[in-house]
Amino acid sequence: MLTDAQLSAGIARNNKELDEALSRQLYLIYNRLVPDSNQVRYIVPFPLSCVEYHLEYINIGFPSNVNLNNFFFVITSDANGVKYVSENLRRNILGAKVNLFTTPNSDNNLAVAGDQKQFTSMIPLNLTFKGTEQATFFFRGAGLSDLEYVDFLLTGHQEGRKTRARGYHGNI
Amino acid sequence: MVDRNSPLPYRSTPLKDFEQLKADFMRETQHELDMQTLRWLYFIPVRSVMPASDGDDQQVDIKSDAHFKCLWVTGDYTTLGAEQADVGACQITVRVSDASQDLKLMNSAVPLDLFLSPGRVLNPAIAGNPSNSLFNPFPFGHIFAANGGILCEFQNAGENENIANLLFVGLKLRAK
Repeated sequence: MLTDAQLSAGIARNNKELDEALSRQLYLIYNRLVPDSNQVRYIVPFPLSCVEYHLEYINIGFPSNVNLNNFFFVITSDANGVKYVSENLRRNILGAKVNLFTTPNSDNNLAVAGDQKQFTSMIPLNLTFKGTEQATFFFRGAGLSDLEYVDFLLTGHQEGRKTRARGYHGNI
Repeated sequence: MVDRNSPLPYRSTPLKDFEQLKADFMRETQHELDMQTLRWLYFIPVRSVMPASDGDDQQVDIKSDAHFKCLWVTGDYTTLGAEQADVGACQITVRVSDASQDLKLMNSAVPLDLFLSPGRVLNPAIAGNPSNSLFNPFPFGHIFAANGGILCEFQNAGENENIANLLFVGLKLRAK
């Protein structure tokens, strides 16, 4: 069995982990955009209350009713220029068969053969932005204008967020 | 003594050292068992049954004995539309918050199919296409403090009742 000292040390370690976590917070950013002239541009409003936003993954989804191939995807920031570029992406590499037809076929069945696999891949990015920066996600490619919409989900953590204080939680 | 840096410890270990090896193993196993009183695997399910075109808030409280360090989330949802047709497309969104201080973890409600992959399940009572019964965990790293809670605000845009399940997977960290 753990001694009282080991137990206390373990609990202290757990509380320390919480303390450290209080300065970083999971934050997901989602938006649905309608392409215009074969391009989509999305300016991400990072929260100003954090010192940095560490962007870990992006999920992308769009209806699979167009044969969208060979488009590219760029992330830029206002302070540091281009941070990430992917060229000649195919939608199946992105795993972006998320959303099915939004217009039913004659059987009122949207799950058309081959389009049921609503599998979304996460693209690991591992990019860090200053809290005051803005990031621009830019998609361009043939067929993009035929899309009804493009979904973005960014997963990351706000670092150094000052508004979270451990004292707020009371008895811990 | 057993040379722990040796790539082949067993081949070169004299028989008499096996007793020591066994004792080390037992002690380490016991230590791991003891440590589980401080940090242990934990699952928190959240289930929502939403009427047609309506929302539903579900909150799970985190008890005072331990923090919950969430690592992953997985889940599923039904895709029923008008007249109970299984339309196959996700119609449910959710917004998850850390209820301890109403800390929003998402900027807005997110469609479930964008992070539950694929997540769609078939209602067994309704004929339709096979469900996608592959559920990949989505990274969801956040510590929910003891005495806090996980708040999930679901919204169903479907013209029929739909069900969503989320499963938060992580570790309990004992607190005092």
